[in-house]
Amino acid sequence: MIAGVWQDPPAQRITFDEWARLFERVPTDLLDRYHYYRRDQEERDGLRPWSAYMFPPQTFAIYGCRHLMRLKYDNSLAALRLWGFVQNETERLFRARQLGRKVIATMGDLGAVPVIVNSFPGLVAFYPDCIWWMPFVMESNVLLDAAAELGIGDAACFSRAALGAFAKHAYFPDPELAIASTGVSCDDFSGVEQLAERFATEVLWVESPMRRETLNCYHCAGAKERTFDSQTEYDPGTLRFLVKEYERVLVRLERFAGYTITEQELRNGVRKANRVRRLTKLLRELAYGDGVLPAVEMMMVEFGCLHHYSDIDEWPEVLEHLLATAETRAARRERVVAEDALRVVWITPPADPLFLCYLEDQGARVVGTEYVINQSLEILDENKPPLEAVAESFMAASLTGSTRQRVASAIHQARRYDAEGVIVSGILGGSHCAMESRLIAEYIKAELDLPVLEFDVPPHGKEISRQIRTRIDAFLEMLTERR
Amino acid sequence: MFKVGIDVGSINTKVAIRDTDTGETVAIHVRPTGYKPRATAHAAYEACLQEAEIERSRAGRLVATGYARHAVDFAHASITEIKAAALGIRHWHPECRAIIDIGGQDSKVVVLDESGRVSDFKMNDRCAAGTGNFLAVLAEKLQVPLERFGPLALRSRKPVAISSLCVVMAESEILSLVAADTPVEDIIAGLHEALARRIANMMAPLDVRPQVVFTGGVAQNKGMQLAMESALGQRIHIAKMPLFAAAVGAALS
Repeated sequence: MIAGVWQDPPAQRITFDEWARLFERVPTDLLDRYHYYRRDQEERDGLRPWSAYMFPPQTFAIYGCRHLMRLKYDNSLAALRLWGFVQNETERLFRARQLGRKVIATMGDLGAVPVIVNSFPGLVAFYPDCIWWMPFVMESNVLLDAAAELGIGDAACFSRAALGAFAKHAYFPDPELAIASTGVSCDDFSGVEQLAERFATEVLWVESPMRRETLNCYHCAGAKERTFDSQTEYDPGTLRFLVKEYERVLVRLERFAGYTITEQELRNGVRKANRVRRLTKLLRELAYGDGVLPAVEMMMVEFGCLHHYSDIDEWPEVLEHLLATAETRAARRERVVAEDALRVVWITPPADPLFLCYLEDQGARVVGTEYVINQSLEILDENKPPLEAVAESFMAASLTGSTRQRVASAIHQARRYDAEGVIVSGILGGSHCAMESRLIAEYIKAELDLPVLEFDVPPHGKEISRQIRTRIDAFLEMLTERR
Repeated sequence: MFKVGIDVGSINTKVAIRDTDTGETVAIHVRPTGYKPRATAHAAYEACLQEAEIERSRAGRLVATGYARHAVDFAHASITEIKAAALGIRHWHPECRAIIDIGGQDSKVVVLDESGRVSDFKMNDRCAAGTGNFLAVLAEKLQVPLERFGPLALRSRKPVAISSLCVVMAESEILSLVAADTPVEDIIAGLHEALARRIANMMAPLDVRPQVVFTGGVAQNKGMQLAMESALGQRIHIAKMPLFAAAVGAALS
């Protein structure tokens, strides 16, 4: 609620058309309150900021996100603000360039390097590989075809759309610098990064080390540490290696920015990232615990931890707004899903919004997620030197260690929210999916004795195939009968 | 009073009518689904009522299942074919703990707990590999009627190894075998074995206990039953009325 201006209707999931009608009731003055890069404009011009991002939902569909028309949405103003902000990222990145900021593509590590980049005044980090999971990519083959022409076709996962986006020069400005993580990262995406090299003025390669399990590690001789937040076990030698890599990144960024960053500025960068991660944690607890926000909006929230949708100042404000809405609903016991909805943990790389909506339509709700971005959700240790804190957060990365470690987070969430089943959805062509899905299912069954559903998500589609619907429906029937 | 189950499969639409007083299945009907599943389901329903001489007003609750269950907008409810098959099979085979269902569109293995509830399941992946369609397409290629596949496979003395389960690739393999004068019964038996291996692989991660019941259109093929028994190393029971298990299950739900 915004006193005297706006009162959210009772919590509900609504269709795209319903949102369009609801939007007509939102006062214009209220829409004009929200702007990206607000500080740049206020400092520069001393004028009212021009960078509004609250538009009617149809606007996003016009820009190609017609997939959005098939989803259901949370009906709060905070959720509309979230969608507006997320969908506005392309404009925001081009505007950053106009404002004199330097735009840096960070690739492959999903959450760590942007903390360093965003500590610099005048630098903006973004993930070109974030583009691929955005709904619009599922509407059209354009980006996938462009990637195929450049050498990565159907045999690779659809994160290859990022390469197509580079080639089209339309989704983000050509970055002056790309910082590409490779090593123990996804094989498909390493290929994408190599081919994308031609589109960036310069690429700085960063080695992501494997998180060795200390028990069986010859090199670490039993020494072990645990991450600050999730208590993921790692070998200290791996951390030291990564800190050295980040020191290299820092030197390159200083040269690139023509600016020597202070320890205090780096600490501030860590604090800002932590603000986002803490807000996300609170939102996850409310959404997955009390069912006060839908799974699709929560997916957007979680992915916002990667690079804050290119605006480290405005994104936490969006989250604060959403948190206030969630808290109000929790206090009033208002839910967007039925209280007796089946409780499911979703483990996935693609996190297709259509599937999340379908699950809720069928009377279930998501109570935990593992979207291969554990590292970006990890709270950073503010008492450690900043680069060490960032490196340590990466020690919790989803895909850099064993499947057993990856699945530990999902098991923890399943226990915490009393999940009744687990869904593991892979990507056709995703190299790790082919190897991991069955192992994940085995670990879950062994640890929790919960039913597990596995399937592969096709790269794009206007609707969920009948066969996958049947699997989801039968899985939910099975969970219902187990009650 | 009666209850009706309609199973709209990718190849056939099946209807079963149960008398709720006697618990007997009093009428069944099957016809090809074609490209208009709603219209077919409606026509099959009306035909089944007519054959059983039951007035529509006495038909009672109608539950749809199968691939195109959502198209049956005149149904009172719909359930998946997995749940429907479990209900139908368990009704006739109370000791059943696992169902192998090979249909035209997909194949699935359903594991039941002691009380007959679905406790796990697997469905085959995206293409025709591992489905009845695999045999149907290759029957056409070999110019052998599908209903002759079973008896011919039983006559095979030396089944050939078909390494590919992709229909397109298997076609190439078969062309080579035909060119080499391989007896057709050995090729057909080889196809059955390849399909059975695929199902066995699908079952591997599941906790499958006896009794295993085989249903779906392909279960009418005796050669396939033997190939499955050989691949799985255990006895496979053929479902009573394999084509109608899901329709009966829907009527039971």
